[in-house]
This record gives sequence, C-alpha cells and structure tokens, in this order.
Amino acid sequence: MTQDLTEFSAFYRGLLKNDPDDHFGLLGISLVDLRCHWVKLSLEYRDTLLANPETGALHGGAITALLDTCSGFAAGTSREKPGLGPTIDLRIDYMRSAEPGKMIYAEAEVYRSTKNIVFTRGQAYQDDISRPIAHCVANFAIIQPRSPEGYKMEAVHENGGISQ
Amino acid sequence: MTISDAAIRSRQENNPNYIIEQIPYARLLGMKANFSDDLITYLMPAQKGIVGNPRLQAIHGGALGGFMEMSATLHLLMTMSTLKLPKVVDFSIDYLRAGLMKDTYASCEIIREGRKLANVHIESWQDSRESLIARARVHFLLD
Repeated sequence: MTQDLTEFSAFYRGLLKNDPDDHFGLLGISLVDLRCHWVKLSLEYRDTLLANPETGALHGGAITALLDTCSGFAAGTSREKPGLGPTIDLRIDYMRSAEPGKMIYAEAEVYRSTKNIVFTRGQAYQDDISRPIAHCVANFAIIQPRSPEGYKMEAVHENGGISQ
Repeated sequence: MTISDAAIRSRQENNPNYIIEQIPYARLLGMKANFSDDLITYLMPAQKGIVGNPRLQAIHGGALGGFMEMSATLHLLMTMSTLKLPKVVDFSIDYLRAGLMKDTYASCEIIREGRKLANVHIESWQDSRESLIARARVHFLLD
C-alpha cells in the first residue's frame, strides 16, 4: 500500500480548521500527530464542555466526541487515501475524572482492518497515558465506491485484507 | 442556582429544562426537553455546530452520542432518589442510520435502578420514531 501521510494530515487538518460551524470547532479538537493505523488528537478544556460547573467536571459527551473522532481518523489511515467511514458502534469506559483546566489528549489505533470493517481502540488522558480518563473501542464500516460521496473510503486490496 | 436546586424545581414542575440551563454542555448542544403524557422527549435542534461531515451535512457521531448520554443523565436526575449528578461508568452506542441536519430526538428508559448502579437505555430518531438513528445504553454510578 502506498500511502502519503501528508495527504492524510492535510485532509484531517481541513476538517479540524476550528470552524465554530462544525462540531470539531465547537468542541476545540485539533490534530497532534498521525501515522498509518494511529492518530493523536487534543481537546481544549473549555467551560462550555462542563457537566457540572460546581465541580469543574467535564461532560462525558465531549470525551465521547473526541474519541469517536480520533478512532474514525485512525480507521481512515488504514486506507490508501483519506476519507471518513461511518461508526458502527462505540463503547466508552470512563476511568477517572479529567482535571480541570488541563488539555485532554486522545490516541486511537487500528488493531484489525478488513475489506468491510475497521476495528479500533483508543484512550483519552491528560498528563500520562498510563492514567487514562477513558478507554474506547469503536468499529467503522468501509463504504465501497458508488456510495454517497464523502462517506467513501478507498477500498484497497482486492483480496480484502490490508497488510500492516 | 445549583444543579440540585434545578433538579428539585424540574421535578416539581415536570420540566427538565431547569436542569439543562445549569449544565453548560447541554446548553452547547442547544438541548430542550418536552414533557407530555408522562413521557419526556429530549431534543437536539439542527444547528451547524453539530456537523461532523461538512460535505454530507451529517451530524457528528460524537455529538449524537453526547446528546444521548446527556439525555440519560437528565432522565435519571428527573426520577432518581438522589439530587446529585450521577457519574457515567460506561456508555455504549450502536449507530443505525446516518443522522442528517435535522432536529434529533431521544427518549430514555430506566431499565434498572439499584442502590449503587443504574442502567438506562436511550433511543434516538429524526423523522420518525419507527426509524431509529441510534440506540445506546449507559451505566451510572449513584452516590
């Protein structure tokens, strides 16, 4: 598979252009780093994302959106060309509360990808990835060409599997 | 007003919107609640800020997940014995159809509320209750 990571980087940065008119901008999600089968994003700690202003606790929904985005982008890097595929399902375990005021990071990796499905897992954390805020498992569908534009991910190997 | 005060008022008046006003994230999503025939329906209005795929104008899966999680939290705050914001232990969602730039609704069902844990199921739809766009469930830790 020939893959140009700068193309992926440009595609994702295009989506995360901090436009308040989309959900990424509303939350404050940015791309930190990426490689094949792996993506790292950040989320700014903002008062608008709080569940409880009395304690400074972030709402889980913001973490869900961060991990869904990160896992979906990681799934995209398993293809030859950048694209977005729909999430089939997602499960999040909340391990501990986020500390107020600190940046939140998410890392997600593809641990299996096939012709039709990409399996990902990821974590959200602040200072130390060994002390995660949340753990996530999410699966994504590959929509073959001929499907609506924009949800298209390039199908790669004819035999189905993708070499790692 | 604290969240506990808002929860008391919301229960007295059968109107979860007092709680919504106290929760920044719920306000960010523009959430509203509607109470009729003893059934609470939650609304996330169509707005640009929830778009996840600009080309398709599809709503972000994370916004939908956050909305459903928030709906379950509100639902529990309306009915459970404690007035404290319950903690989410885990959350699982199945996406059934693409969500489009339309008003999105959710309804919740408390499957079990024990002393420590509660299990809440959430269904979400846009055009018709018969064609769900997602189903989810949350476990809450109560204290």
